[in-house]
Amino acid sequence: MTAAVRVAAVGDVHAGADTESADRLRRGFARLADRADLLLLAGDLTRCGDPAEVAVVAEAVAGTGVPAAAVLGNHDLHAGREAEVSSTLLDAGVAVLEGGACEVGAAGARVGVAGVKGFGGGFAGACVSEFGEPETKAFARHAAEAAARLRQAMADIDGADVRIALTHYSPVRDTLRGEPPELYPFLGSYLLAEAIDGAGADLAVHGHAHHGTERGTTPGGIRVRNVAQPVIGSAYRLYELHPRAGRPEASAAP
Amino acid sequence: MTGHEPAEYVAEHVRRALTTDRRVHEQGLDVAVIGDMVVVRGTVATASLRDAIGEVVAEQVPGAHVVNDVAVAPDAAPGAPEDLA
Repeated sequence: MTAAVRVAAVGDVHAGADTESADRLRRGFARLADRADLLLLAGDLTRCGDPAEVAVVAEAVAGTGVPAAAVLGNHDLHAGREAEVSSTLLDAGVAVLEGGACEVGAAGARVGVAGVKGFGGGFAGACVSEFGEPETKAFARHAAEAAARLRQAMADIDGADVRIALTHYSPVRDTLRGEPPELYPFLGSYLLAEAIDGAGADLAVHGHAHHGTERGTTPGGIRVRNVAQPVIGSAYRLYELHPRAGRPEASAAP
Repeated sequence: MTGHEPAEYVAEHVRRALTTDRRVHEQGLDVAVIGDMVVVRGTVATASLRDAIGEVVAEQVPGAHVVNDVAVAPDAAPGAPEDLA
């Protein structure tokens, strides 16, 4: 029996460039290495994407000694300095995924993470399309392009023993429960779920929806977890995932 | 006093300010205007951010009685892992 992979995840920590934020993160991540093999950061790491804010996050994450992967969120893009935000995280050893993937060895298994910020657009039955004003088309196009990048990144981790999709925006409605329905088109896109279901995954993790709900599933039955910190009410959440080789159906396959 | 402007508009001015003001940059806060009272609710990362929210609300609606019911998100380590077998 292969050991479970222990994944810690949190989003929307909204760090400021202040000691209160630094202390909070350091305290929250204390002894993380005893509990998790991998840390996932689901975007909105900062208040407004100031490099001084992300430096606080980078230092706290580097201090854990746990491999980490992140996507950025809309707050991290506000200042228009996302290249500096990403490079600060990369310098701290954090894999920043925007249509990319990374693999980490954990518990004797290859854990693949594919990530993209994602975007809004809404969900099946009430979804924006590329039609009408240029602004509407651009909005719809950004959502579709994000989903296409996720689809590509998911293909890159196809051979991993555990596959995780990491986004900031939600792939499903389920985990938005608690949010005003009028906001749904700005909180996620079903196109992300379609990409995840198309590739297959063991878990999809997102943030962004502070008033939402932790647990949901994609239309294809893949578990989705909203780890926005106001939702989970703790420094992070822990999930145990089981490598494919350890599953009866996988070992019975030719 | 919140003046004669409909409460819904006053609340939305405050919500927009809380999103765009450099001291706060928070989306998803609830703002309710009830007579001379402005109530703000939500969950944020730090106590200083909660205090900054109170300041911004007071500036946006001078003379209002500001009720800052914003909470700071708990940051304790989580309990047992969820087994996704």
